Amino acid sequence: MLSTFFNLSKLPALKTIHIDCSLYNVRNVHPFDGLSDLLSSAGRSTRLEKIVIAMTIDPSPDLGLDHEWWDAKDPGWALLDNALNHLTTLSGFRKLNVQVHFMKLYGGTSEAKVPPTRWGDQWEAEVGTLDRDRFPISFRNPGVYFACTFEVLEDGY
Amino acid sequence: MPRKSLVDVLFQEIIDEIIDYFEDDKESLISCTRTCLAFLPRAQSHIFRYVSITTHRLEDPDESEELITIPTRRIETLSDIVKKRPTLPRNFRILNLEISDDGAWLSQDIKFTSIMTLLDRSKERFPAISITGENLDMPYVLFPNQPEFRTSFWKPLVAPFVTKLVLENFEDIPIGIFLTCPLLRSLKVDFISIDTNNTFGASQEGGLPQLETFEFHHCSEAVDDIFGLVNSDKPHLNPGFLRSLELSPHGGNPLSCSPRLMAAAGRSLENLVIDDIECKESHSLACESPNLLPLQVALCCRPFSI
Repeated sequence: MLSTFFNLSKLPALKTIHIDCSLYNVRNVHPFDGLSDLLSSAGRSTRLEKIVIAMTIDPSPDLGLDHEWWDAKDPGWALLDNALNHLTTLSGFRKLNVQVHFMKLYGGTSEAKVPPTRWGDQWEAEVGTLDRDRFPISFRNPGVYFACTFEVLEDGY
Repeated sequence: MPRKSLVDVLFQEIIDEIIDYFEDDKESLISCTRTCLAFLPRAQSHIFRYVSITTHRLEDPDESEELITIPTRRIETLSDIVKKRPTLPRNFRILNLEISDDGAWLSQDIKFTSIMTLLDRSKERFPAISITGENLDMPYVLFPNQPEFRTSFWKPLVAPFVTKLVLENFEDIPIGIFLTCPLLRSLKVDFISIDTNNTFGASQEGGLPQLETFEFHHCSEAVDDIFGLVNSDKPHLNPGFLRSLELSPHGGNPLSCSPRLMAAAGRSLENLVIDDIECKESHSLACESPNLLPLQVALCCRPFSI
């Protein structure tokens, strides 16, 4: 597991984690899986303040992807939710800023015309303002700020 | 009486501030340089923040192959521009040098040397230096090893000033390349190997660099050598100052050095960037090797059946 290499309980000064997952491997791994494992290794003295997850996505049939896997129904969200819950119940927890950034490639091509679920919306929530029907994170602890943004890259990358 | 142009009545500072709005729009900046002399200095300052001196490729009609030559023409063009505005190199923030052969031009091209002497030498503004090996026939290029590289280029023009360094696609980089840069704070390496016996004439007088930011890809063994993680008797950098680490756990077993690096630098690390998590079938098969066993689990991806 990623935590085998980066055991957060042994990185007591760690404040930010940034995870990228690009187009050519999205069919093989969901960033939430690795991140969830990583967060589960956090110890009581964690100082983690910020998590940034960037994913390139494209619902093109040619790439064999549909939009299900970044949708709220994807089990990756539940894994992340559990890992965040673990993290935010640790004694060292004060606040946590989680940012998920989806980037869609080939915005200028015909492939971009396939509208993914909730495409173009921005999910942004804190405890108490959460629309649970459309937001897959439960926020069982206060102090978590969560933002989910989408970006279309006009010319790919 | 001819009417004055608006440009004639505006202070240069205001014009410069307007040009600054195009900071990230290179096309518009180039248009500015062609439009009005008053726009030229500020637009050039932005355009020349990133300067890349790359190899020049020519098609050989007889051999039907691609030829690579030293970047003489690019240096001459840049030199002509700098002659008209000698302060221009002070705006360089990233200087990318591409080497396809022995890299002799780095130390022997007088025009290039002249440009290098005009860089801003302050700690805050000396450009990030990126040196990339580029050879169509080989994955690696041998790092320049002629004595002039050290005495005429690296030692007087780069080592005392550089704070950010990028090295890509090189074989046998002397460990002394890093040890001779006392101000080095940020290092990125990709597809490299290290010659741990070549100290490049490094001395302790200027102090060893205290590396704070480190990024590596496809060179786990080199990381062991740079930080002395396997053999601490060899010259190496101290990993104890690292604050930020970026790596890409995919292909070629790049994670093998990570447990050692974490043990050496984990307590000071504040920022972790994991780029391009990958899990492909071939990697799972590779995990039949006991040394790679953790990798199989590390990429505990849900197998998307697509």
